[in-house]
Amino acid sequence: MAELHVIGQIQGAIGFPSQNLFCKWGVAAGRSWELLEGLDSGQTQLDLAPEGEPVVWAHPLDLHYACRGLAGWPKLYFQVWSQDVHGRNDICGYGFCHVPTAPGQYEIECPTWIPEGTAGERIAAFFLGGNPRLKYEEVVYTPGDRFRLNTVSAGLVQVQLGVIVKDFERNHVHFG
Amino acid sequence: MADSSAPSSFTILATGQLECAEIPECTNAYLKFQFVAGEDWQLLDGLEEGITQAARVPEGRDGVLVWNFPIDITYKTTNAFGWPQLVVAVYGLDSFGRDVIKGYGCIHLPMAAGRYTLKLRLFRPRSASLLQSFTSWLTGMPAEFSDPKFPSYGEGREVTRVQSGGHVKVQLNLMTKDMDMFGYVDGSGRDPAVSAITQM
Repeated sequence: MAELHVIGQIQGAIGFPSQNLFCKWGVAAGRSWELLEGLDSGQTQLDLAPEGEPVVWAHPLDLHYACRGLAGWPKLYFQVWSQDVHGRNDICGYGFCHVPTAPGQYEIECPTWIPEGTAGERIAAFFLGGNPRLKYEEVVYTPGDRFRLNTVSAGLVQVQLGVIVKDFERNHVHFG
Repeated sequence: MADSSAPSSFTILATGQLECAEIPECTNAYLKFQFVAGEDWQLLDGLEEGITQAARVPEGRDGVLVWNFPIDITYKTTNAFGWPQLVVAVYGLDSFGRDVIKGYGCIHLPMAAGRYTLKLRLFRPRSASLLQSFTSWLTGMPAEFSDPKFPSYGEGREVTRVQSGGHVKVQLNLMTKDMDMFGYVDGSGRDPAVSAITQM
């Protein structure tokens, strides 16, 4: 049975309208993947970064998967939230990225987006706050029908990942 | 000894230095570091924690604090889970000459053999209220993490409010032994630039 280790860090984020951000993250894998050790979801610290500097979360990731089939290779998904001066949390971006399928060290910048409301909703949000949120959060990392969703792009989530595999070559799997 | 050809563990050796740091509004600081590893990891050689000297930024030049502190550590393990992390805490002097925390940082040791320049961005806890930030400035005791290993934890971070600023530069060389015989492929022999060209 092959094993996959994903070890790294959600470093931070850049390019969002707010500099006071935290991130809720998770890892989704198919049915033939079993998480042996590690946490596959969590929430980072809330960091306030100076203007122009990236927001720093430095959240460690250490996942140990057992793999019985290649379908459903693990993917990381993120929800970036901001907190305003009154302590209210508001969504700033949704994004996902696959864990690289070849062993090595990677620096990944994952792009994010947020749903956009109608013009009336945007005017109300300008005064009251409160961006529209997704009702079904699986839309972020599942291929499916996003036809009626209008989104606007948001910032980048920076992730540093190291991938180590065990016994994949013995099962004739090539990474390229 | 029945099967002496198959190793029962693999080893990693990390050498390098805590090179320098750039922290805004900090001209005098020292750094405390420690390595945090999982339960299956055993320290073979080297110091797992230490303190550097107190460094000062020279007058009239770029604001870089240089420590040039050697790191030399060897671990043995049976499981890649719990890969060692380097946790640092930088302490500086405030205007009254007291030690105050300037930032924490954390990074995993690289997983593939090679030479790396790592940049650890620093963050420190924010005071819970304006009054607390004023009293902590007065008494020279700003908010610190009670557990120095806290930056290496994946849990319990959601209630922490921090502010970031500054970074520490670390040079590391990583060597591994017996990882391939143990069945692990770490991708160190692959050059991603070369494989991208051959695809074209």
